Amino acid sequence: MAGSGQGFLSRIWVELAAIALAFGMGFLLVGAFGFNPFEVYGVLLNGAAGSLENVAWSLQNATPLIFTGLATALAFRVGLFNIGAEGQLVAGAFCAAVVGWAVPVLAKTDLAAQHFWDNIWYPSGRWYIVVVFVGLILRLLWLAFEGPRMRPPAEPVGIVARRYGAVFVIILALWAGFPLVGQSLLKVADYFVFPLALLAAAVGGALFAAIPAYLRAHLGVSEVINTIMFNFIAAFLASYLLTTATFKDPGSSPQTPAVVEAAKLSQVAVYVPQGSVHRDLAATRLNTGFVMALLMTMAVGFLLAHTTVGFEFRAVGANPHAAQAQGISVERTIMRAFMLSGALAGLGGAEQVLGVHHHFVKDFWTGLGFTGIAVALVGRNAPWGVVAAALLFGGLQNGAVEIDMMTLFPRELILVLQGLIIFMVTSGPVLADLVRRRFK
Amino acid sequence: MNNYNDMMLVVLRYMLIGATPLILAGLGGLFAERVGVVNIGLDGFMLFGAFFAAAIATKSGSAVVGLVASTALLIAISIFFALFTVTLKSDQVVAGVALNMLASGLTLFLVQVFFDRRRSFPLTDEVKLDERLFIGLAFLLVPVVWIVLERTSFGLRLKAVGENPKAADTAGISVVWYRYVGVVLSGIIAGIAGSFLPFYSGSFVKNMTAGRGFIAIAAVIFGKWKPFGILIACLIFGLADAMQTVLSNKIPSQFAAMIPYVATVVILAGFIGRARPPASLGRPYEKEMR
Repeated sequence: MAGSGQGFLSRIWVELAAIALAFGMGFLLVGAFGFNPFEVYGVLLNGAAGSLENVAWSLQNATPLIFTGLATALAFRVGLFNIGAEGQLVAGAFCAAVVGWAVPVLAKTDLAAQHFWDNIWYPSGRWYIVVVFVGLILRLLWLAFEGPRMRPPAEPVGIVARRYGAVFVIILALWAGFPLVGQSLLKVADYFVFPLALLAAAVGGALFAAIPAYLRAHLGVSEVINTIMFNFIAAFLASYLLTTATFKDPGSSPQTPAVVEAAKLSQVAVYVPQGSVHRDLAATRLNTGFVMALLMTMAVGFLLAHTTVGFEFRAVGANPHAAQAQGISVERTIMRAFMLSGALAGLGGAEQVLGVHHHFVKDFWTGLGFTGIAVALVGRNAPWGVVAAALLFGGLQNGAVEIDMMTLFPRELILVLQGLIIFMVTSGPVLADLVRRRFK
Repeated sequence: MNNYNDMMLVVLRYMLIGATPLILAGLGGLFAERVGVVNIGLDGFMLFGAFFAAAIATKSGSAVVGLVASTALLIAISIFFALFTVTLKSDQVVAGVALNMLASGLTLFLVQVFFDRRRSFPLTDEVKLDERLFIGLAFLLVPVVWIVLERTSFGLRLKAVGENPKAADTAGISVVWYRYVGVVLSGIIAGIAGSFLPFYSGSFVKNMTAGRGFIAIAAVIFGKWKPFGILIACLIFGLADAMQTVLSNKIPSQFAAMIPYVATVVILAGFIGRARPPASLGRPYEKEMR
C-alpha cells in the first residue's frame, strides 16, 4: 500500500506526522481568527480525554464510528468506495428499532398479534396451493429452457440442484411454515428480541447496500455516486416513515416508540461497582455496544486474514483482472463485500438505537457515515487501525462539545480538522518521500 | 387548456432553475474529468462558491464583488485541491471526499465566525442577482466550452492530457500544468454554479448544495463527457427537480424530495457503459524516471 520497503513503524510515524500536520494547520486557523489556539486546543484535549467521564463519552462517540469505519474499510479492501455507510446505518437502525419495539408488543397482546396476521398479505387455502404450483411450474420451465444454454450440458440437473435447489426449498419451507414458526417464536419474544433486532439491523443494512452493489457489480455503475444518492434517499425515507401513524411515537417528537428493555444494550456502568467510577460511567451512554464493536473488529480481521472469502476480497481489491483469471467471481465478491459492509454499518445503527437513543430518532445519524470514511482512511483500512482512528475521532467529537460549552469558538473546527486530516493522511507517503529526498 | 399551459410554464421554469446549477457544475466537472482528474469534490466547490459569494456579497453590499472575490478564492481552493490530486498523487476520490468535508465544515465554521448564526444567514435585498443571469450564463457556456474543447489547440491539449498523458508529455505538453488548469477551471465554474443557489433562494443554508455536485457528476457521465450531452442530461435532471416542486403538494414531501436522487440512480443504471470515459481518468501521471 504505502511506498515499497517501508516498515510498519515508519508508516505509523508518517501517519502520526500527517495527523500532527493537520492539527498544526487547524492551530494556525484558530489563531488566524483571533482566538487563543492554546486555550481552544486545551479545551479540545480536555474534552477528549481530560477525565474518566470525558473518556467514556469519547468511547461512546467512537462506537458507531468503529462500525461505519469497518464498513468503509472492508469495502476499500475490495477496491470499493462505500460512501453510503450513513444510509446503511439508517436502514439498520430503523430495522432494529422496529423489531425492538414491535415484536414484543405483537407477542404480548394476542389481539394485536391476531390483527397483524389477519392483515398481512398471505395466500391461504387453495390460492396458496395454486400459487405455489404455478411458481414451481414456471421455475421448471425456466430451468428447462435456460439450462443447456447457460451450463455445460453434461450435468445440468446436478448443478441446478446444487445451486438453486436448496435455496428454493428453504424459501418454500419458510413460506409454508411462516405463520406457525412466527406465532410460536412471538410467544417467547423477550428471549430473542435482542438477537433478532441485531439480525434485522444487519439484514437491513445489507439490503440497503445491495442495490448500489448490484449496479456496480453487474452494470459497472460508479458506487460512489449511487451510495451518496442512497444516503439522501435513506434520510428522506426515514423522515417520511417517522410521519406515518404506523411508526411514529404518539408523542410530539419525530421518533419511533421506545424499544423494550430486553432489546436494549446494557450500560457499561451496570458492571462497575458503586463509586466514583460508576458515577462517571453512568453519566454517559457508554454501552456494551462498544464491546460488540471490538468483537466485530476481531471478526473482520479474522475474515480478511484467515478465510477464503477474505482472501477473495483481498485478491479482487489488489487486482480484479488477476482475480478473475484465477477463477474468483469478481461480481460475486463485490456483492458479498458490499452487503457485508452494509451489514456492519447497519449493526452500527443497531448500537445507536439499542444502546444510546432507545428510539429511532430523526437525524441522529448526521455525520456518522462521513466520519466513518475518515476513520477508515486514517486507520489505513486495517481493522485495529480503524479502532484507533475511531477513538481519535470520537475524542475529537467530545472535544467539540466541550469547545462549544467552554469557549466562543465554533465546534465546526473539528469538521475542518477532519477534512484536513484526510488530505494529509492520503498524501502522507508522498510527502514523506519528498521530505526524505530533500534531506538525504 | 389555459390551466394546462400555465402548468407547463411552471414546470419549464422550475426545470430551468433546477438545471442551471447542474449545467454549470457539470461543465466544471467536465474540465476536470477531461484532464483525467475525477472531481468528487465538485459538491464541495459548489458549497464554497455558494458561501463565499453570499457572504462577501452581503458584507460588501455588492453581488458583483461577491462573485469576483468568490471566484478568486475558488481559484486558490482549486490549486489546493490540484496540489493533492495532481502533484501529491493522492487518491482522487478520497481527496474529493475530504474536500467535501472541508467545505461542509469550513462554511459552517465561517457562518458562525462572521455572521454569529448557527446554520444559515439571509442575503440583504440589494445584493440579489436575477436568476435569469445565471440561466443565460449556463446556456451560453455550453457552446463556449464546446468550442474551447473541440476547436482550439488549448482544448486539444487539455483532452490529450486526459486521454494519453504519456503521449502528451512526449509531445512537449506539460501534463501537470494542464491538469492544474483543468482543475482550476473546474473549481471556478463549479463555484459559480454554487453561487446561483444563495442568490436564487435569498439565503445561505448549511450544506445547501444537497448533493447537486454528485448529480452533476452523474450528468457528466450520462452526457458522455460532452458539453451538449451534459446540457441534455442536466435538463432531464432539472425536470426531475421541477417534478419535485410540482408534485410536492400531491405526494408526501419526502418522496417529492427524493425524486432527483432516485432519478440519478435510475438514469445512471440505464445509460452506463454507452460512452467511454477519458482514458487516464482517476490515474495520477507518473513521469518515467531514468
